Amino acid sequence: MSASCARLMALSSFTVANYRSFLRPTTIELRPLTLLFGYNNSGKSALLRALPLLADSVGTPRGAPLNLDSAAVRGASFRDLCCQLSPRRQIDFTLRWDQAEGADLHRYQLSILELPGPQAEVLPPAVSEFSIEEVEVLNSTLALQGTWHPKQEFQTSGQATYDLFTSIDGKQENVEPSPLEFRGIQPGSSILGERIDVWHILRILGSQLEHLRDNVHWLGAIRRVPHRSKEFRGSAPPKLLEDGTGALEVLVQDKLRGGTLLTTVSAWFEKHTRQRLDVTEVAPRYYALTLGPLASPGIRVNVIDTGEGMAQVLPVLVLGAQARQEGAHGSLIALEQPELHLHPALHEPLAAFFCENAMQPHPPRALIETHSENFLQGIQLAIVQGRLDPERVGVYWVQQLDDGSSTVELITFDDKGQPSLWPPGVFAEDTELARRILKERRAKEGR
Amino acid sequence: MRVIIEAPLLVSAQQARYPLALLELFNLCLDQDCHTLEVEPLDAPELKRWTDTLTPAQQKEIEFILDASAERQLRDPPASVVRVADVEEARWEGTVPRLPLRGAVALLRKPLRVLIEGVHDEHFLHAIVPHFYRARFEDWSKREMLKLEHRGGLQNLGHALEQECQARERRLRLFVMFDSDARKRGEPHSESRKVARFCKRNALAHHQLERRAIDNYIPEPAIERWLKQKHPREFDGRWLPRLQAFRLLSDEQRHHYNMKKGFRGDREGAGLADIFDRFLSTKPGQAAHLEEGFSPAVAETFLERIPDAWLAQDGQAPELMELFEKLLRAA
Repeated sequence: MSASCARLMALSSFTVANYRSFLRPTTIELRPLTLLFGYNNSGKSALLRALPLLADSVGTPRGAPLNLDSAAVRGASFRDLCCQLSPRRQIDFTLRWDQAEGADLHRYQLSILELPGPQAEVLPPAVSEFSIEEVEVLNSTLALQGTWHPKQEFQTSGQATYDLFTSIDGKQENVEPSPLEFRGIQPGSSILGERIDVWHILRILGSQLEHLRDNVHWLGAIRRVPHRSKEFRGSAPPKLLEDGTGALEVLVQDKLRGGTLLTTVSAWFEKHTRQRLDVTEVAPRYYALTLGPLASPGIRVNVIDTGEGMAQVLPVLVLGAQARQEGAHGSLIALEQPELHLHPALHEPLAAFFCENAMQPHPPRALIETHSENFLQGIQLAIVQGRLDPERVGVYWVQQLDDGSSTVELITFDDKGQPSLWPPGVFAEDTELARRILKERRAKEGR
Repeated sequence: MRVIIEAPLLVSAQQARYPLALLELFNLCLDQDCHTLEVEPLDAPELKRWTDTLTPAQQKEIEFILDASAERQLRDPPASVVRVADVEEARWEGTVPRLPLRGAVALLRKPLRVLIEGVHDEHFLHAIVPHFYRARFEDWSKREMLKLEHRGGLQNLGHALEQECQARERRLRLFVMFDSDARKRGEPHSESRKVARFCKRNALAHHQLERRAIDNYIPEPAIERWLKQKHPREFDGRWLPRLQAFRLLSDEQRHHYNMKKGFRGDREGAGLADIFDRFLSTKPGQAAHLEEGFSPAVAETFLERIPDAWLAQDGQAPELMELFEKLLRAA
């Protein structure tokens, strides 16, 4: 993960519109711990993956603003990403950052549009509009808006002409239509050298977006088991892959450098499974991850030979521990079903691990998609025990409406862990089944 | 309803006198999932002493009801609470009433009566229930755990409430929804304010609509759909200009427009609110189309379900969420 930077703020929310099944603008406020719940196919993963998609689309050298090679889109085309309930071939994104004294950038909004070519062929999508708000430059508040100049066709190079408007301390000013080259979702500033204010604002946006690119960490629901052993060549990858690949190398590097990551991850295993996690050198330069009972230190079993849940939760814990080290200016982790393959008894301890992250003085942010009732109850327990400030957690219920569009409902908690609202019947499915069985049984017994 | 059984009741003379009543209480909670039941304290030895006298099948059911109730307490507990205690008569001191066993059984047998003004309000509730609450609202209505009752206009509703509240038990099984009759934002009509005050004073679960009346919750696409069905031939000539003028109103104006009788209806009644002054002076041509409303039959729009997307676009989703949250938790 990259080093933190004093003027770079953490992402506080993101909004999507006409994206996947989210026809209408849908905002997810990112608290230190934000959970997405919902039935299958409601749109949870689409929301969560918007973050790695945007991160992967920063500075991408290809013409299209969205990096469609990102694993987060699974080979989808731009049209596949557009909501099918609307004929519009446009997706709108808005990113907001924490507001604090000295913060440079508060909001970046962009609309990405697919236009038909002269022969109705599909041209690469392009940024049709963007706005950058509230940039403080030389004691002034500056905003910049750009609209693609309709008289100019998009160039295949990705360069197009935009009508630009600046606003300095609320006073609007027209800038000459200017060519801009987007590198992914990042507007380039090299050709605007004469306008120092515009150049400055674009540079600040660029820094914030590059920060986003480097610090969004996504872990998908389908994870690989670690290698049985791997040669360590001197450095670990900067990010885990979405399938968890890289966790072994990260822990090897940490151990060789005498870091605390392995200790943090192992502490979770020790407390909840009575097993210690370690990095074991199995041959010169070849390392393996092993677990062994605390009570029998001589026994070491390769993680991939232990229960499936142990190997599956490993990258989740590694990512969580990395985020804890990095703090607020660093990581934003997006996790899909972190509890996968874990016994339900371990869902609460896993929730507790993320509650601990959320209560750090400068907490990282985690967006977690889950189906686990125990994970939710773990959050409620942490709140009622005072281990988690309810202000630091939010739950979104993601639902698909009859017309196929998706919406979200924000659920907050009071200091007793009571949710502000709850979708009726959710997590009461087993109870309802039991109620039906009991009633049928009664009827059969003639009671 | 959240029912808390005080543990001493389980081994009391009252329970010995009416042994079936306690079982009936649990049965009601098994049948009607709007109720939850718990024993206080949670680990009371009296519970085991009582369940030891039951059959294994009964014990299993009791265990299930207590577990299911505990689970619901975690997420969406009922808002109204009663305690069942070893008392001969209902005690109404404090915020939570203490009822004798048979009194509690009688109370739980009753559905939550949702008092509304008229039949259109019933259609309104069914047409606009948010997706989030729809399954539960429809299920509980079908199983008669909720019973919608019409009480005429606001005045009649007010009188009816005074009658209802003479029996304290009845208050626990009542929910009231009524129009604000407001002519502008945040200024409900005096009659509506009176009903709201009465509800608050008597701790009645209620919802006073923020907009003027239920008709003001008809999203514009739903009006168009209804007008096209109702007046297919006259739509373009007569209704479309009215609808287009209606679209020009601000949110506050739309929420307080006399949907049935238009500007004229208000002028001939209590007078037209000043929130329309600017519209009348700056767009007299458009305002003329709104002199008449959409007819007294406009609430027929609620005979068809209003899509959630239209409700969301119209900006009413947060209020509807609050309304159904209160209504269902009151059950």
